[in-house]
Amino acid sequence: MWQTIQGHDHVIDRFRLAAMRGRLSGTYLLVGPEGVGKRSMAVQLAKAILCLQQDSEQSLNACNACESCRLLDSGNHPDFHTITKRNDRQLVTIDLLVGDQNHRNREGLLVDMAYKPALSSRKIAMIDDADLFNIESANTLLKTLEEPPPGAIIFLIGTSQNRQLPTIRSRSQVIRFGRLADDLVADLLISKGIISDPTRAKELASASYGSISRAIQLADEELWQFRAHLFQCLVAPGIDRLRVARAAAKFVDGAGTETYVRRVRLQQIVHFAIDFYRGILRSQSGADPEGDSLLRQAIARSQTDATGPDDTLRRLDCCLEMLTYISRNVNLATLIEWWIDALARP
Amino acid sequence: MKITCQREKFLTALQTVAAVVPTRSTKNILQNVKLEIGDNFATLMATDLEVGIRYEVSNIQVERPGVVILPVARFGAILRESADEMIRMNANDRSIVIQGEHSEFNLQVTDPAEFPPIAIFEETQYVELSARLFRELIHRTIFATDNESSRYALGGILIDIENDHIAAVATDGRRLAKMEGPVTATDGYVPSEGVTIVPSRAMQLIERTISDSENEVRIACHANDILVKSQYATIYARLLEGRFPKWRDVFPKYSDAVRMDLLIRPFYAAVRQAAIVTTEESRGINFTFGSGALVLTGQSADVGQSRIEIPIPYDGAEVTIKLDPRFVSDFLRVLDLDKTFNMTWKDGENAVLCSTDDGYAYVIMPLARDR
Repeated sequence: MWQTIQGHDHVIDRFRLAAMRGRLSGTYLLVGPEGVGKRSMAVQLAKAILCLQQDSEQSLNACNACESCRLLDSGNHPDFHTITKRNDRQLVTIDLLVGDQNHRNREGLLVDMAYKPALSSRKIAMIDDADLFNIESANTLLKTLEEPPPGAIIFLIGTSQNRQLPTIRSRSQVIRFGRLADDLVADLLISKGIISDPTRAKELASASYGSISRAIQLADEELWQFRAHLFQCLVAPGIDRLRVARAAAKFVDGAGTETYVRRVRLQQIVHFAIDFYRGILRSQSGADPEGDSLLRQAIARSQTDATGPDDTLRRLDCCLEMLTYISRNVNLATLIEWWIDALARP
Repeated sequence: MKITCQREKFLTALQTVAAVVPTRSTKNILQNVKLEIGDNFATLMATDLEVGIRYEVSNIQVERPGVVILPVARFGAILRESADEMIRMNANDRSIVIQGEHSEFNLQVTDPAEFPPIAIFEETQYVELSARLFRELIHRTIFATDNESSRYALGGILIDIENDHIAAVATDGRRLAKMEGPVTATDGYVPSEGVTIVPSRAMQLIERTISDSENEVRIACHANDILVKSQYATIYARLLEGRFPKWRDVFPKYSDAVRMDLLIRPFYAAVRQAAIVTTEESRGINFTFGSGALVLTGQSADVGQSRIEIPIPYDGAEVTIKLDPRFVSDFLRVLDLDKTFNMTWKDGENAVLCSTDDGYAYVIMPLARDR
């Protein structure tokens, strides 16, 4: 284990080699599923590179004691800049990079990067949600990626390199992250103090598809219950559209009044359905089943339903389409009805 | 930490450093000031990570030294709203108690170790110049910086120190202002190797902070930052990265140019008058140098025309140069209106050089005449 990062040894080895040879690149695009540790990896790399101890950059070992390490841990390092999509926005907008209309080119990440480093010899930027650039913000970034300020390293964090503009892709080194092993997720749940019961931790881990953030979400008992309920509904031959739609709408309403949290919850529901249909597709194509016992049981029971892979694929498409709509400010109640209706169609 | 201080003095010091505190920031710690109390000193500090300031507060009775991080908005409000002459402060790791005569506040405080460091002026090698000159260096160049383009280096003032001589240069690509003056360097002073471009925001702060002092100011330039120390304040500023134009090459070296001395007041008045009819779309004014007179004409299609004439000591061929009156005014505005300045020009295509005899020079590029 390196600097609290687990399960991504190949990535660390790659960075170590580059650092040892003094060939760290200017831009890295870290891609992989949500919640497997991409952000933590970027932060730890930043910590090691910015650490004031001699040779910390070559060995990628942070001392955890110097001023730089302390400031980084408290989130106040002057040479480590991060931006994340704002909760009330669907995309990473240009004002995060170069300031809003009234402060254009006077604040924002790229302006911060135009200053010389304050404490360390380099400066590092981490751009979270790099999947969600709009064309404008992606293009604004290009000039800096093309000709980064001396000593600058930029970490772009996203889920897939296909969601980047080709111009950004071609200027970055792509680092891929895989899922975490189920055992590791279970261990992390316990060590982070989220779950105390090892059996429950294992169960959540197997339902998490190797994502710790997903496992943490599932630890919410209400969500877990609804998941079970949704599987039951989906298994039943001929989905009861009205009842399922009503239950889903009620569950989404329960998340709160803010649109953002409601959207997040609906996305979670859709992801459950995706898990379910993916499981079905696996069993239809003869692959080994995966996921937790609840999902496996649901899939085993649904075998009585005489549908082919084409049907399952259509439903999966439906779910993916649904995710796109959710991110586009469509009325949620209408969306839910449309979605359940589309799933229920024979 | 336990101290007693004069409220008004302390408030003034706090307001000086609070100018640095960012109005919004993702790093909450920056919304605080750090107060460091030693046996015989008290320093207030604030930073937005680009600029940092340390300010010595005087007239403080120290009972117990220490360090405390204070939320600037609340703490400032307490000092402002109070009418007491003296304020007592007593802080431990978790909170601070602020006591007036009839009031008491208990504020939560943050861990001082989380506050970003602000450099101390401990240099042995530096240059020294009068605060008045340094203010002038900033005042006469800062308007020419470009804070809106993505060429971030132009958002700062270049400081060039060599051989007992300092130059401040700012440009936005269309005009360039340069002010020079003498400095005293310490023994063995070696100028910084890199390019020193100080962000204009930091320069504004420096100008404001040293405005009431007539003493000497010390400057130390490093590869990544600059430190400026005046009587009470030390200002730290991170430098800007990037390429600055080779400013010495920008100054025209005409062999056959026309040079003339002009009185500032009437010339400035004429420029302002001619500019009345200009608009965003047609911005330029024609400066026609004719025999014995300079004629300024402005016109725009939707407003009208202006024509102002002033006498000049010139009897050569007629030459018209089209200049942006805002750029000309920027230069004239920072000068003493009762003095003269020198204008050097060649023709309507080449740069116009304006200068004064106290080390100030300004280059303006003419506008294209056929537009």
